[in-house]
Amino acid sequence: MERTVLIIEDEKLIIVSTQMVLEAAGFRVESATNGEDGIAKARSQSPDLILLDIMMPGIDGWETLTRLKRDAATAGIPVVIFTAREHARGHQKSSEMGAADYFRKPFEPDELIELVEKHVGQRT
Amino acid sequence: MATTFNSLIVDTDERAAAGLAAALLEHGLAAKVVDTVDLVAQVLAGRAADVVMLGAGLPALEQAAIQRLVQKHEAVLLVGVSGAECTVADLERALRLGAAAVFRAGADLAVRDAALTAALERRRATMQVQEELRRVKFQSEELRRRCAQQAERFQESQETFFLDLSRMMTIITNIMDGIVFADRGGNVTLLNPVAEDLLGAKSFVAIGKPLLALQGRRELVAALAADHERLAGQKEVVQTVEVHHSEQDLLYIKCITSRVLDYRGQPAGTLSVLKDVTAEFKTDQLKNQYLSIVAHELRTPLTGIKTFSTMMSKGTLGTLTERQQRVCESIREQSLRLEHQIDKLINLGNLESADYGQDREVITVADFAAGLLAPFEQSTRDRRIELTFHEDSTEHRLFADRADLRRACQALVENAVKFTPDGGHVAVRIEATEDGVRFGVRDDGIGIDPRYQRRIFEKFFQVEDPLTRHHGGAGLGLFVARGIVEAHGSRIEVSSQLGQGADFTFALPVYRPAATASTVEVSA
Repeated sequence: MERTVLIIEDEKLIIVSTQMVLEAAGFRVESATNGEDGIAKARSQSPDLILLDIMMPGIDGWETLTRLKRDAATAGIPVVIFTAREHARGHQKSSEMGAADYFRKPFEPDELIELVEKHVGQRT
Repeated sequence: MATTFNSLIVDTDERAAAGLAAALLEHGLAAKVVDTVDLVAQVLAGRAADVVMLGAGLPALEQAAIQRLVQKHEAVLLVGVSGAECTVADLERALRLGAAAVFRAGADLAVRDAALTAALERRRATMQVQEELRRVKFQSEELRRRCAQQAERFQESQETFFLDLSRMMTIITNIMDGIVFADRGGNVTLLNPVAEDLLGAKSFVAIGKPLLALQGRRELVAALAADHERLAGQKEVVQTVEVHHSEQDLLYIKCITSRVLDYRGQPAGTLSVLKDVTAEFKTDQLKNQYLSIVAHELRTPLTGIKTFSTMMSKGTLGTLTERQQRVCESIREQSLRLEHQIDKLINLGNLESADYGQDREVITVADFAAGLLAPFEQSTRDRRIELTFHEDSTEHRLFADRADLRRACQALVENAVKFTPDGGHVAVRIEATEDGVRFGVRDDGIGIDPRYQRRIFEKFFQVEDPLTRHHGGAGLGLFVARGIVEAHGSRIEVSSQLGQGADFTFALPVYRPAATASTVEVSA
């Protein structure tokens, strides 16, 4: 069965490059360029994993994560925080807020695939 | 028994004097006869006689002069009586002259000798008393002198003490920081004007009251009282307290509380220094915010460059010619260098925050080691430095801040590469030990003078003269590495000799779930 990863990220370049890596590894990739759209897509398409950027226009990644975890339809989808920005105690904060992992950009393509493989089947 | 002494006979009646001298000599006692005051003075000055026997025939003036000489030289004076009996007039004369005894010239020798001996004994006793008096006088003089000295010293000490106290009070009153002293029981003993302002409490009301009872800014008062309690087991407590200044404004007050000891080294209370760090805090916040944005703006395009070049190098996007392959690999390596430089820039911004090792999680050594040396591949290749990596603990787990630990290791590698000559060798190793993992970076570079082996970890420290040095850098790499490793509860060891390279190592314990269960639960 095809596994779907939803990327919520405002930078087109990141979406394209991440999509390229994941598709080459056999994943289907959906994307949204802001938090609102991302939540809507998460509800409608129920992906196996969400890669969530933090610094986005509109609602930021933390708020998006809060809403995803509050909504029963999306609460079980593993979310990996996907950020290029320095966040004080980022790992702890994301973990406390219910994220499955915390991943920094720029990344090694192999590490990204490994991470996605690790969490993609972990829906609760 | 006869007592030996030298006597001086002074008499104008030569016959009587010679008779007395002969009688004394018969009895084994030496005597000299003189007839003038000058001769008496001469003999007594030379200490040639202990006893002066004064004949009855001398004029009264001379008798008085001799009496003064006897007193001056502390000799014994005997007054002779010419008649057969000692009359009242004789006794009066003897008394007037301060004589020790009265003798008759024609008396029995044994009687005269007894009188002389008794007189001499009295003289000795007198001399002993006088000696004792002199000693007591000297001692009392010495005592008085010492007391005067002590009093003078005490006066000086007191003046110095009051001067020091006055200086200290001037400093405390005028210093830009708040100062609060509390006794062992937590009662306020001193509050300077800045502390009054920051706490919102007046000194005359606060003194003598427990810290917690102060009427002022609750957050700060509570923090001080808590620090006073916490200090029992620590040397110093530091915390920054957020205080509501007005409806919109917040103040950030750094409180440094340390123990005060009395002269016996026993705890006597606490001293809290209150520093208004609002400006620094806000600047720091802005700086971190700015750096975070800069990092984001730089890393975003870099993600694309790195990802695309990696995929192209690996052939994911189709087969490349050999030349294209080389170009793609070069683009990838440059992107790794740039990523490393961005990380260093962020580190510079975080230098003062001392917030290392806060974002801990359970990681495997393999997680941590992947790509660790990538930023150095090109530079070492260009300089023909052999960069080797040995790792035998892949599955060991650590509880660490992955990003910070990588920064620390990369700082050690960067340092080694920097000080290794072209064509040299840098060996990086991660080895399993009995109860942990040991990280090591060894090079065969210029080595470190033993004098500088601890100083190289100081901020901005450079062994080389900044004007003439051959190696770049700000002198921050090892400082940051030390901060990170110490935040993980370890310490960097360095072993090096000049001209023989250096070896930097540190060890971390393996992760044991039971020991950090609560923390892991949060970060799992």
